[in-house]
Amino acid sequence: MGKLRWISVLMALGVGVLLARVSQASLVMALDTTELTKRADHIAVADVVSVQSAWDQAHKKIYTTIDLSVVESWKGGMQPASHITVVQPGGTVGDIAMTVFGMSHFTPGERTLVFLRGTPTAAGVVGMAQGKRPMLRDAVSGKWTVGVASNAGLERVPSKSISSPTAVESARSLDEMRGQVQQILKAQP
Amino acid sequence: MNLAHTGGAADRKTDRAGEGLGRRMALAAGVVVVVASLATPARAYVRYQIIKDGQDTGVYEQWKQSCIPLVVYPNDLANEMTVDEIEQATSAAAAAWSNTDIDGTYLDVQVNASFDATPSTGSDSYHDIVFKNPWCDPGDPTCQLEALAITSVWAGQTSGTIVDADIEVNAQYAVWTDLVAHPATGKQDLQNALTHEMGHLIGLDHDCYTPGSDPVQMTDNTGVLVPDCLGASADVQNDVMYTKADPGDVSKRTLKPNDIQAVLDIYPTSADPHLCLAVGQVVSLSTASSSGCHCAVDSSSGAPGAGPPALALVVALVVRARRRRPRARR
Repeated sequence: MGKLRWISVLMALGVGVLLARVSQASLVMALDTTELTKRADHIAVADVVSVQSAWDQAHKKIYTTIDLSVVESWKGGMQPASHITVVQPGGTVGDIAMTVFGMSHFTPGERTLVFLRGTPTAAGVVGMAQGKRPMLRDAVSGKWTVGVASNAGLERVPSKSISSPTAVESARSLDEMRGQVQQILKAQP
Repeated sequence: MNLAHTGGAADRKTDRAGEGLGRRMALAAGVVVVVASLATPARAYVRYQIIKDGQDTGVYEQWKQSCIPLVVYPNDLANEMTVDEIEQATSAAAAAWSNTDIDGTYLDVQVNASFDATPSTGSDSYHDIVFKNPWCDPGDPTCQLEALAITSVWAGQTSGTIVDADIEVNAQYAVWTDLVAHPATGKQDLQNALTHEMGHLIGLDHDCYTPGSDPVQMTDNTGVLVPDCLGASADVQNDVMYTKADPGDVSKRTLKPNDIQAVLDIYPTSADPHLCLAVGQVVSLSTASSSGCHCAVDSSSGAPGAGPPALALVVALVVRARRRRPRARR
C-alpha cells in the first residue's frame, strides 16, 4: 500500500508537471469567432478557384491573389457564385518563395470559410490565418465540418481590448458555425 | 523461546529492512517513471520546408553563409524603449542563435543599428528589423492589422537558400518593453518576441501543428510527426519555437535544448562556409547548392540573381566581417 501510495504521488506530480503550462499567445492578436465576425466585412463559405502569385511593381515583395467563388454568404451580401478576390503577401514566383509566417494557405479546389476585410475586388483575411477555416466533408453523411484555424507560423496574444479566446476554438458542424455567426450578427448594433 | 523471540525480533528487523528497501525501490521506480515520462529520446526541432502544390519537397530553407548581417532601425520605437534597450534586445536575440552563445555552431547573426529613416522592407539584399508606426494602411487589403510582428523570408525553392529576410514589428498597436527591467502588464517583451522571430529567420518552423487545418503535418529532425500543439509535451511547449507563449512571457529569450540542437545540426562548425557578407550583399541562388556553399554573391539591390564571379571570390575571402554601421542606402 505504501509503495503504491509513493508511486501514485510521484505519478501525479509527473502528470501535473506535464499539464501545468497554460497556452496563451504572442505575435498576432488572438481573435475568437465574435471578434472575427465583428471585424469582417465579408463572411462566406467559398471555393478556391485559383491561386496566383506575382512580384509587386518594385520587385521587392511577392503577393498572392486568390480567386474565391462564393457558396453562401453570411455577411456582406455576396450572391452565390459571385467572386471575391483576396490579396495577401507571400507566395512563389519562379524559383523564389517569399514566406510570411502566419499567413493562410489556399489550395485550388478547397472549400473554406473565410472572414474577410475589404471589398469583393480586394479583400484580406482578418487576423492572418485565424480568419480562414478549413472545411471537411464527411464522405458518408455528406455534411460539412468547419475545422479550427491554422496557427501555423503565427503566435497569438490575448488582448484586453478585444474578445480573445483562451484556447483555439474547436471544430464544429457548418450548421452550428453558421448559427453562431448569425447570432453574433444579430447581437451587433 | 528466547531464541525464538530473538529470532522473531531479528525477523522483524529484517522485515523492516526489507520494507525500507521496498519503499526505496518503489521510490526509485516512481522517479524512473516520472523521469521517463518527461524525457525525450532525442532533441527534436522542425525546419521550414518548401511546400510546392501542397506537398513537401524535401528542401529546407537555410542560409548558406556564416554571418547574417541584420540592420535594426530603432528610431521608430524610441518613444517606448531607449535606443540602448532596443539594441540590447535585438543583439541579445541575435546572439542567442549565434556562435557567441552556442559552442559548436558557425552561425553569426549580427546586428547593425542604423539611424537613417526606416526603409520599406522587401527582397532587396538588406535584412531589416523595422518598427512601423503607422503599422499599415487599414484600407489596404494586404495590411495585417492584427499582427504584432511579421517575419518574411525569401528563399530559392530548388536550393532552399535563404537570400533575404525581414522582421517588421508593429509599433502602433503593440507596446514593447524590456519586461525583465520594467515588469508590466499589457506590454510585450521585445527580446522574447525577436528571439522567436529570429528562429524563423534562420529557417526554423514551429515545433507542433494544428490538426485539421495545417495542410501538411510536419516531421521533425528525427523523422517523427510533430505533435498537436494543444497536447504537446512540456518539452515541446518550452521550446522557443513553440507556437504560443504565456502573457508576459520572457522565457523565450533563452534557447532550450531542442532549439540549440537545431542550430548545431543545421549550422555546425564543421560545415562553416567561411563566408561573411557585408550589409547589402547576398548569396546568389544560381550557384548555391544545398550540400554546401559554393557561393556567388550579388551586391546589387533588387531581387537576387547571379553575382559577378570576381566579386564572389573577393567576398568569400572576407571572414567574420567586423560589425559596423551600415552605409546609407536607397
